[in-house]
Amino acid sequence: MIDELERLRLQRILSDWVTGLPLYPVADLRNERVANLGVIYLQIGRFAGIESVYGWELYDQVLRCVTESLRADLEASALRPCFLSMQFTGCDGFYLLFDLPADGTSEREQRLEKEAFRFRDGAMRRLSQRLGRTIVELMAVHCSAVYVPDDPRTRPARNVIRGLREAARLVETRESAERLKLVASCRSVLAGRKLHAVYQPVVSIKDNAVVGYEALIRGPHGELELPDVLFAVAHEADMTLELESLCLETIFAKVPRGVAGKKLFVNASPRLLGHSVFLDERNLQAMKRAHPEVVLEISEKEVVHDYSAFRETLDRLRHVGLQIAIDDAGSGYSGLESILQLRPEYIKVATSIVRNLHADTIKRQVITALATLGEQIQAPLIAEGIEQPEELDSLLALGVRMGQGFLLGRPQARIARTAH
Amino acid sequence: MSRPRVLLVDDDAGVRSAVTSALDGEGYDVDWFGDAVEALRQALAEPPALVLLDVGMPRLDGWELCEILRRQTQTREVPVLFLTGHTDVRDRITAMQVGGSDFISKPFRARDLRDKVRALVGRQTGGASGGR
Repeated sequence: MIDELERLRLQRILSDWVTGLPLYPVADLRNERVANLGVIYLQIGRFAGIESVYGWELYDQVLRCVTESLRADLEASALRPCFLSMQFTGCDGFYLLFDLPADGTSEREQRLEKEAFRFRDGAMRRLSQRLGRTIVELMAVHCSAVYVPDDPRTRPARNVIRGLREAARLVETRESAERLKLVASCRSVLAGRKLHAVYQPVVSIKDNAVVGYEALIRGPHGELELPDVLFAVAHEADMTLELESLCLETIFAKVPRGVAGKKLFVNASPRLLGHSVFLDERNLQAMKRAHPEVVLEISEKEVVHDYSAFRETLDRLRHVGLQIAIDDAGSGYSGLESILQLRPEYIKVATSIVRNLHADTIKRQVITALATLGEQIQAPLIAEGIEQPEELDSLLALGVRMGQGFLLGRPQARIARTAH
Repeated sequence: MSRPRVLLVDDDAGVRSAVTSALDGEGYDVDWFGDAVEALRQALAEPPALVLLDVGMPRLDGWELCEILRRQTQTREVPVLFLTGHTDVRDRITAMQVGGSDFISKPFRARDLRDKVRALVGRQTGGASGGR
């Protein structure tokens, strides 16, 4: 059993159980001479941090979906007879290796390229069907195809690895080109101030009464419409502060009358809140004039390095009547620290924790822990991203009294004054 | 119909005895192992309906054993219930990330263990739980 155990341990290290695929590098091909190696590489990407925003469970689903898609498309592929192996990089990339027939080089390369795009389109389509459009907009699947003829002067293992590296480099180039284009679009959005706000109700779960609205920013129709994409691009271009300032300007330039008498939740990063322009008394007073009941949402995911300095900032904000909410609570699956340190007026429970909580013991435990902490510091919980009646029932059972999500109300551009 | 077999892996004899008596009379056959390597051999030879798994064991810890089971065709779908003395949320997350199906903290109540075992074995066998 000891030898067998070593084999199983090695397999654990060299394979990924989520996708079921062997992990790169290609141990099984290292010493084989492949006459006409074809490499198709697919990479899930666009922006870093999908997993940290949406949680590992969703990312596991993405990986499983892409793996299944590749397997299905491979079975129907004209290249199926030449298939050698499929590998996973362990993070976000998939390699498909083929030993191609010896016919015309350019034709062979074209066929390989065509298949790469077919695999990519299949993966995007299935991701969209299974996980929804938003996810696909946030993460493109890029692909490349590389043909590597055998060269007797080189060692086969190095030849294979060079092919893989070249395929990854090509995807990187394509991704960079796409990013540059998006960054240029983002600059144009900022220069033209092409943002608008929509408002999602925050509701008392028991009686369905609207207690407030979260102002959410939208870009112009198209690839930068969703705030997650917009902020990811701005981050790439080091324009986050400019974008955030414009978001707040857009929201406070015209608060809808329907929000009067209710809380207005707005997102702001610790970096922006600590900025002298934001903390300027005139700016704070202008916000108060635009709406007297503002709750600033600070994401738990953003790292606060100096709690004592940040607490002083929050004290200044509270002094002018602004309230604080910790956003995305539980998304770090651990971070009760920031809540204890910052003593917010509200704790907003992350969508990733609320999703399917009725079927997940851990998520319910996380919410219970947050609720206990919330009681101690008198900060009620607001559950975000409620989409299913079962989630709502579980939240009520756990004592959560406020929530938002598609089930309770979609973001809307206009609010009727008589709403609720 | 044969009784569902539960594989219990824990190097603490006290826990083994508590689990066995909690599941006694519930219609399960409990095979217990104090050594994770021996348990792995048994699980691969005869996949059980459920694995009850301790985390801290000398030759092979529970996380690693679970990861190995998840990679084998015959045990990929077998539910794994972690018996953990840890109460940290992070440990529970790790239990899920290595492919565990649920966890229960030690010390546990016999009723809670029975409920979890019944739910997981029922899920695996499509609703049939116990052999009575």
